[in-house]
Amino acid sequence: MASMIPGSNAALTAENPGLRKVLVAFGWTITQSLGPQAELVPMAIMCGQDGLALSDDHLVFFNQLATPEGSMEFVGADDQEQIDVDLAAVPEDVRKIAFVVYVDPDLRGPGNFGAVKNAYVRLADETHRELLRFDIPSGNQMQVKAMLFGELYRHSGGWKFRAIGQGYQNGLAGVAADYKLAL
Amino acid sequence: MDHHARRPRPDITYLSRRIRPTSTPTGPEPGRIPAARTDVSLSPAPSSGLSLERPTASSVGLSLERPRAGTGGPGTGDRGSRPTLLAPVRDSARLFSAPGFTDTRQLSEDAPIVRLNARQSGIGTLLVHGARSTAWEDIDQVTGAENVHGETAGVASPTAGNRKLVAFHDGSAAVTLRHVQRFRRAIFIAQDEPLVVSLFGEAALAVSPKTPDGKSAVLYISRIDSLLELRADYVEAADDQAIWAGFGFTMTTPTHVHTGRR
Repeated sequence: MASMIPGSNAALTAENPGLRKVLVAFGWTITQSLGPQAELVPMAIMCGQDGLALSDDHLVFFNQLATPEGSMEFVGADDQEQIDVDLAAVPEDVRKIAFVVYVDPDLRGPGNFGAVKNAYVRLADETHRELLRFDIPSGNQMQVKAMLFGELYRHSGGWKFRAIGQGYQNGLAGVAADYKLAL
Repeated sequence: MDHHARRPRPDITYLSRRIRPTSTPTGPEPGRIPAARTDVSLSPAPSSGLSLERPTASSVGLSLERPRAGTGGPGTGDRGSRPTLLAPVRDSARLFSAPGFTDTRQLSEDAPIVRLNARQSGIGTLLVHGARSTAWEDIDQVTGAENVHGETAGVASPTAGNRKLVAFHDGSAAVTLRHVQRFRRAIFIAQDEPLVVSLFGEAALAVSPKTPDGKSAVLYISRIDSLLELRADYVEAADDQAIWAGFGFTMTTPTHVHTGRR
């Protein structure tokens, strides 16, 4: 298992020959409060050569569980949220898959990442053997309402993973604008 | 009566026709999910509509007769011809077509239904502005109601983020879409002004408050799988309790009363 730092990348398939499916799991803890609190939602977005979402259907989150061709599925299990990616079945025109976690934009005190601790994304194989782990650096995240945790991207016929940890102050709206999603 | 000649009732969203799988060669392959039907017309069938006529003896109704062998129905013992189990079919794959939220600006008696997509149904807050009251039911059949003045009945449905699943907020009724999977249905009773429904991303539509013959709007929202469907219904003027009853809402009795026990 390799720990990653922001900006680093790992040759996922080159270092794990035969890797066909990968589990991308997210976790965090939230400082509890009596009032409305931030609710984090992971979302994975399939992007084309231009870096934009292939379509609004090519994303998964808790209420849209699979992409049309079925190579990416939202599942829930041991971590807070998990997404399965069948690397071999991902459409050829998908160049990268972005993994975003956003604070649900509820109008009643939506919150931000300021109350979020110990956030991470980890990748595992079909036997749940952990391959990579990226712990989001702690810091003042009071202005952050969505975060790009990392990306899976094609490289030399295989797949690599890049740890990012880039925050969006404009939350899901900013994510939608960056990937040209109609949410 | 020819059941196969019946067509779906687009105005009754909580009923759907179930087709028993058959073992005929033209049926779906085992494990294959049937494609969504797209050939269903929204225009009501001439033969549809509720009838209060007494059914004829040979038509419908429950029968205690033993099913004939070979029909393949439940309890026939005809296991040899029974098809293998089909993969679960998501309810949303069998829905009749309906306009999307941004396809129309206003719901009315003539255009009563829109259906949200999965993103619209699961992000942020669905707000209904202009309602005098709301009543809801969650997946545990917990039912409650609240009016714009903050008076409540039944039981609230809390969510993990310390927000109620349905409640009034700053004069508008709000549905917590992060927990839409806990939502079953709700009604929003209009006042004299149009109801305005808004979603994340500023999309909005209005609901005509009255019909020419004086009936008042009630917005009915139901969840079908991961999709929310909005339907404008029009009812005779009545108090909230009568409207709840008309839509089948029975308030859950609160159990957190102070009994004096320690």
